Amino acid sequence: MKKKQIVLLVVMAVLISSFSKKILPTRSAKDIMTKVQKVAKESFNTSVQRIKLATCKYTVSNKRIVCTEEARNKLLESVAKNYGENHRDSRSVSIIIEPKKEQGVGMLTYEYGELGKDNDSWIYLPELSKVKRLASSSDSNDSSGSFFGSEFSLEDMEDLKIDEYNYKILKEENYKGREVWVIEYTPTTERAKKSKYSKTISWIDKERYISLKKNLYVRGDHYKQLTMSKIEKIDDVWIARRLTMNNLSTRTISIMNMISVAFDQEILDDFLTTRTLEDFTFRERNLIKLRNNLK
Amino acid sequence: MSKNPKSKTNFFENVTQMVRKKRLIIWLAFVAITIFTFLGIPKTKFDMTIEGWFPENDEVLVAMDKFKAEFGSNEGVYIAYKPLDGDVFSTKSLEVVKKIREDILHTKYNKDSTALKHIVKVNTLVNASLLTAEGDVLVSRKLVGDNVPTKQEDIEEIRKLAQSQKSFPLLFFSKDMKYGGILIETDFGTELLEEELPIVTDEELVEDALEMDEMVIADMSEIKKNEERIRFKRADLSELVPLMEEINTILDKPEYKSHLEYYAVGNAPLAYEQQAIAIKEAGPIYLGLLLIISILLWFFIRSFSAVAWSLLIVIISAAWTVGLAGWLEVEVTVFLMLTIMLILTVGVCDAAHIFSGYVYFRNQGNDRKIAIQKVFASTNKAIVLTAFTNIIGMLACFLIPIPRIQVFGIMSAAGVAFACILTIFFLPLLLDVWAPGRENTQRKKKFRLSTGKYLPNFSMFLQKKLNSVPSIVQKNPIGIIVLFLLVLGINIYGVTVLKIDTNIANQFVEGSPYRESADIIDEKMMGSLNMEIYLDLSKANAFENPFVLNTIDKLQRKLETKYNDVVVRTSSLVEVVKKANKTLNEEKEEMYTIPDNQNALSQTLFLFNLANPEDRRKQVSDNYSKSHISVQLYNVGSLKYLKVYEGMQKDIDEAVTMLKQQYPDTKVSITGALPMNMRFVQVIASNGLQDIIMVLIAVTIVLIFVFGSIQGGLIAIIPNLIPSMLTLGLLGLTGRSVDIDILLLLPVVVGISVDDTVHFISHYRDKLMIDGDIKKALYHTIKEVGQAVTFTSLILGLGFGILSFSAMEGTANVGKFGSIAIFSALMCDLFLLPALILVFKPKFQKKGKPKFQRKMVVQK
Repeated sequence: MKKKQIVLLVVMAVLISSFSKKILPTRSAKDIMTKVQKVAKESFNTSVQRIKLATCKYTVSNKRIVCTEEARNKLLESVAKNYGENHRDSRSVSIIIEPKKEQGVGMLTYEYGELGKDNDSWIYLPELSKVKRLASSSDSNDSSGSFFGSEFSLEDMEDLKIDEYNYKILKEENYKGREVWVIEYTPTTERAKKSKYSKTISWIDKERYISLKKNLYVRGDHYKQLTMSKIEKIDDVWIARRLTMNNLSTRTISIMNMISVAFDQEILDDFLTTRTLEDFTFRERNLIKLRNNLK
Repeated sequence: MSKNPKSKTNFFENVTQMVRKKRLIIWLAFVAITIFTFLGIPKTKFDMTIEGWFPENDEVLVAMDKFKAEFGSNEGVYIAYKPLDGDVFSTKSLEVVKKIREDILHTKYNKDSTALKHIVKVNTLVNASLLTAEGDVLVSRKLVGDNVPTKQEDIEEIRKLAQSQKSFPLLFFSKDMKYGGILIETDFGTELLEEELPIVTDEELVEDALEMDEMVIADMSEIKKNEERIRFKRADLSELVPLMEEINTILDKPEYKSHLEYYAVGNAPLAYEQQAIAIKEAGPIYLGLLLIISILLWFFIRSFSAVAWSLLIVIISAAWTVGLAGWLEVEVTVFLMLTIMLILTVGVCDAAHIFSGYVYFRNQGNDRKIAIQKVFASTNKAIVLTAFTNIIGMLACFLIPIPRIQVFGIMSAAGVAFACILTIFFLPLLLDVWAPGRENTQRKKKFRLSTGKYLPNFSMFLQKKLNSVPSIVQKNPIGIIVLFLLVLGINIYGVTVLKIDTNIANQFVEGSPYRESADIIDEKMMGSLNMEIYLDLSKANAFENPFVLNTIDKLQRKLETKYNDVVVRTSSLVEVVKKANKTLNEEKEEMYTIPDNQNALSQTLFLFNLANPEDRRKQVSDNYSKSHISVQLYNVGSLKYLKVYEGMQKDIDEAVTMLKQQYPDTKVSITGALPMNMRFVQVIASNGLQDIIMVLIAVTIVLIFVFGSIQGGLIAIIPNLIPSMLTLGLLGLTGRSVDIDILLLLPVVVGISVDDTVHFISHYRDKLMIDGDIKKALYHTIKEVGQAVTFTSLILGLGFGILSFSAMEGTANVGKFGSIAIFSALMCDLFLLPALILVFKPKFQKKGKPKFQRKMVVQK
């Protein structure tokens, strides 16, 4: 009888351990991503950034990526504020400062953490002096639109909704001197309808819980690569000051540089409305205060 | 058949003995080569794309590569469909089209190896995307989307919306809405040429883009201009045909086919149709050809072995040629058919001469072995001579700088050489195995009794007719020459009025599905031909300048109105901007304009890029320095386009001159199906005739060399001018136009006619050597060679005639004009050549014969 019990225990132990080996990484992959999301969202309430966006077609020469044409530069100011439980909602407004021809073009976005709820966005074209809300019918909602003419798409700029993806750890390795988890995530069937990407592989820094690199796949083909560099701690928040998006299919690269950043400034809810897009004086009055604290 | 005493050491007489001695080795060698080449046949690649006609650095290809480098593949399939209920907007029609699209995409993503992977996008009424304004909300949506409406009012709303989109009519539905359109975009032709890769990037990079993040990104202000031309692999038919096959498998599913009729155009359906015809016709037409040749051969020689061995020689020669091409990986074209016809001609002619000679020697009482020895000893010379002339003629094609013509020339030359080698080295061994009248003496005797000397009854009839030929010629040789020269003159006039016309759809005969599709799409949809005007203003943001867009707008309107009989419509960034401007202004019709200040324009484009960066990329380059105007055209022949195209080019140049005022480095290039066609016409015009002239010159030189005198050579070439001139002249006189098929038929025609002429003249020369009596020699030549020549002409003329039934216009033309040429060559050899000999009395033998010719001389 005892023997039987022991055997049973051993069998169970083996089963459990093998079971947990299979289950654990899956669960922990999601945990890791949840933590990443938490670090990104909860460590600050508001952010103010001055962003330089440069885009060009490139070639590779002597293992260096070199533009084959004059880069197109845009200077933006972007203000964001998190809302709700666990900061899962957010509102952000971005305005073009340069080039002159697009000065004042702005975009306001409300992101919702709620599953399946589409974001709201408005654009403002100063030449028309009108705010237009952007909407898409349910069956054509892909956020493949371009973020201010760069290789970053609107989807790339969105926050990850954890429950809309399935995760698994592919491996653990050392990436550019940092210990990382390599995590693959694929959209759920619902999400897949709206996402351009069929798969993402992300390199997550084990210590800082931030992504260092992402490979983005479209229908199984490696389509774009995002790399994060110049990672710094500003106002107690880990942030990559330089994001590089390499579109492998068009051989175009966009570099997003956070020239200056400030976290947890006081931003009125009123500022994150369409008024900021339309009302130049209102916008400037608020921004002047914020610009002073940029680092 | 010649009977001249001559040195016994002659190679051509001894070769048969040598062959017999080493028969085991030769048998083994032939079997081995045949097996080897047969294995190469499946490797043969067919290339029928129009691009294949141009040298790699041709301006039209350079322009196309530039276009592709910037805007992607232009290799698409356009399928027009006609729903049985007569309305493309009916619930049923929309449902079916939606399912077809889903089916194609589903197969693409779920099947591991499928040609459908090349599909980039399937554009239909259902998923057509549009941006509309509803008050202050900009809605990006699909015209129909996931849910096909069932209520009539909803359908009418969609119909109205579709009609309000300026780019939808004619692309997605006809004016009467009875026809719809599906545009399938592919990535064909966008794969970089392998050799080009290192120029663009490191090899390892292409393999492992994952490592790209390890690379240093140079400062963005550093610019390394890529001046190298990016070149792309040409779309291969072996890829296009499976694509179309798979698309058709889906389209032909009963649930779709019971509701829709299809009309597809584009390179893929074109290739598919060509292959379908080839498969369908290969049986009946080529079997028919073999059958008619077999029957006639048997009829004239009355021996099954003659039929079997002649055809075997031809088939093996053709297999060697095609197999070799397969192993060497050269791309062959539809003109392979011409090569095979040439092999057939040479093979059958040679065999016919051998067999009639063999029977002749047997009848003289020689036993089989000796008869074989004798016939080869006397005929080898003529066989080598005709092969040599043909080979030189075909190799002259190599001087034309068009790879396809060169391949055609080399393959034809190789084919002729193979036929010659097989006849000389292999046929004696075959005859040892089975020869006419070998056994079965009983039947043979009976046969002989009833058929006369050595040929069937027909030969009696023919001999009678041939008897009168010498007297006709002798009566009035000058008259005959004048008559033929008159015919030649009229034909030369015909050639001068000849026009070159080429039309993509017209490579099929009237009533064929592709032609019907092209007609329907021309009539109902947006036309099946296109042209891309590629504009590079060499300055960033140039296309955000209203002046530029207005200039382009004016050019487009001009093209549309001035050439409205050929231009269906034009589209460019202008339409996109106007549409976006209208949408931004609450869909007011009067706002369908180009914004008049630069900032407004640039912000309008900002919206377009925001809404749909992929579509934007297809219209204008990222830095707004390059864009293009697409011109949709009706598919009429190049002849009709000649003047129009010139006018269009002038108008385009005018617009470019305007642009150059502000953008002095503006470059324009024109590409697409129309410019390719027009360029093709130039290529044919400049090279096609050059080709035939080269062949004629080469053949004349060989003839002068072989017959030992300039006079002899010239007399030999004149009868050979008439068949080719007749072919061209008849086309000109009947007001028809010439296409490439006919032009490439000409060297073959020259080959066929020269074949007979060489046999005729060498026989005449041999006879003349006996007693120097020209008239007597001519009489015998006409009677003996005339008969063989008439037989081969009948066999080949009727054989070629079978091809007239082909559904490929080119093959049919080769059949028709090939027959005409063969029969006219016969007339020339029987009447004109004797007349010329009588009048000019050329000496085909000079005392100081060149070495080569001495070798050629025959003996008994």
